[in-house]
Amino acid sequence: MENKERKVINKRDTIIIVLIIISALACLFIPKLTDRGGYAVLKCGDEVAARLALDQSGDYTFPEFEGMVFTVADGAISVTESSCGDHTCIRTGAISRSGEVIVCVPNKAAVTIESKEQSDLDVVLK
Amino acid sequence: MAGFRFTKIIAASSAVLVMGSCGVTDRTAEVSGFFFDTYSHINACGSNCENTMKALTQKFTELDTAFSLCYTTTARLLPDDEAYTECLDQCRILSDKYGDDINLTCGELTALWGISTDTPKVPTEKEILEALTSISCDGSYSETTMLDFGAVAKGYACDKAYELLKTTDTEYAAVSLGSSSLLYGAKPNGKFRTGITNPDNGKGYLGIIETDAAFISTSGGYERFFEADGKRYSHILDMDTGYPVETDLTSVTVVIPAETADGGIMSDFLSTLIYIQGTSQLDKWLAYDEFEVIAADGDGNVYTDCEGFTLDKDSGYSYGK
Amino acid sequence: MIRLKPEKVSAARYVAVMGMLFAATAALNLIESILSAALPAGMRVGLANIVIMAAILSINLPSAALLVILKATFVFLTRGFSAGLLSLCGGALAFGVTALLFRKTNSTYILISVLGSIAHTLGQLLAARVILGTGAIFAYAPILAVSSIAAGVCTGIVLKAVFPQIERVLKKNKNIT
Repeated sequence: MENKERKVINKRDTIIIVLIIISALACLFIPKLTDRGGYAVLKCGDEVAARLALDQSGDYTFPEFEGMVFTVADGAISVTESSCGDHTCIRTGAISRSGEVIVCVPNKAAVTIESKEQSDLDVVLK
Repeated sequence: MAGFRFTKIIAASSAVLVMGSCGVTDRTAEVSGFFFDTYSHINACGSNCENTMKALTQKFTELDTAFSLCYTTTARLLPDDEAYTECLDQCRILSDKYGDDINLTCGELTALWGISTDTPKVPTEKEILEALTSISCDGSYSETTMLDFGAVAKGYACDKAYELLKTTDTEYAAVSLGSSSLLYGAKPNGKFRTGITNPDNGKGYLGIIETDAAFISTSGGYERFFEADGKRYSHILDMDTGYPVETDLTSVTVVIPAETADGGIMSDFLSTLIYIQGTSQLDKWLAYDEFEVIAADGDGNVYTDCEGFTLDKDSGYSYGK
Repeated sequence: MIRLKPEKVSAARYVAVMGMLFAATAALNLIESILSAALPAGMRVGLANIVIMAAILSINLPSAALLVILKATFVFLTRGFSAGLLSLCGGALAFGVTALLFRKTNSTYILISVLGSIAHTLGQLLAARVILGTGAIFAYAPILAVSSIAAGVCTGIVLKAVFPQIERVLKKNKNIT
């Protein structure tokens, strides 16, 4: 096609873009519908490096993730220090629901949330 | 323009699809706290959940304060509080109907053992006998009588929670107060699932109960106790001897449908009563229709008449009888 | 045999033009780093893609591909191995999608830009998946998709606005296109 004739935008393409936006937004809502988790799972590559209970507040460091500090508070986990250049992981903030993630690519760290064992239980009687 | 209208329809339908978790009024809320000396947790789904949570938390705090007062104030000096009178009345009714092993005037005896405090100790015979005299079976209080609502407090709190939830637009809620719970309303995609802790190791599950709305309470000697000279003293005391009860059961769970009046305090009361009375009385309890029992004994047997109960394969227990 | 230069362009001229485009890419990349430091989760606006798209339109595909590689090398040198790999994969996928759309369809600038931006993000996610060894990162996909779309719209507009100027500069010698 001659580029001189190419338009900036037209109706057909606008509709396509709007549909894409809607699907992306719909996906954004998915994490909100899942449970608050009981554990944060820290993975280094494929291996699970640690499982932190989200009701035990505190700061944690691990040999697998040098220079990173994970903080658990109020049932959520966040990265408060990191040796990576970007600090994207820190800026992600705190996560607490399954489906949410914090990732630090240079450190190969991925933090996900796992609900308590048998997450489908409404109550556990002690 | 046709294109624009089309887009609006798509946007609207996507929004509705996305909202569907518990209903179009999708609001869920959760709160955790420390009530009645246990880690408690509530979660609910329905409109105006946040306010419902606040109301429940406030109610529990009030009850917690009222019941805690009993540990430091003798019965005669307690303020007027319907919580006291209601619990005492209900307890009397339940005792008449089912058995009198539970007595709420045992406060002095419980304080003597101090099991839930930082300084539990084994009292002397003399001290125990003295404390036993303050326990009253006829409703009269001596100067030293102290009330202890520990056996029914959580169940009663669940009843109050039920009353409160009925005044709201809550679709379903799970109120967990450690050893007593209320499952309220109906979940959109299934029944409520409740796990019973394994009395042996306290970590795995004895089994899972699937029910509709219900009050569920558990009693056992494995959660609160202290050890002295190699012997374990649990927190459930025998009103006749003054010592921790000797029973061959390790855990008893009672399930009562939520519509039952005062089902909460009833489930709490019964779970303790059945636990105290041991396996010899189980046949009698299993015959009752108005509640269901799941009882585990020290030999790895589980006895139950609860259809919704599924034994956990890894629990080390098997069905008895 | 890949023909890097369009015909009838002297080597010196070609190097000068490519050098200028590479410099533009690097500069935009640096600006973008500063910008995304202010945005949550390190969202990337993809400013450098404007240059790549301009190269596809006004020079030829192999040259544009070369720019993608040069851009990735620049990122590797300034921000490290992981970032460099992400840039390469993202850039490659974006290049492929953009080139296809420009050459084979009559889609508008904004649509091509948006799809190119999404492709760039997707390429980066796939590379991150390989480095991390776990699929956890895809949880970021929805939010990154939204920001990619927004970025694509912006870069598309900028491209159309800026393109005539680019062509004028490159057309000192009218044989370049």
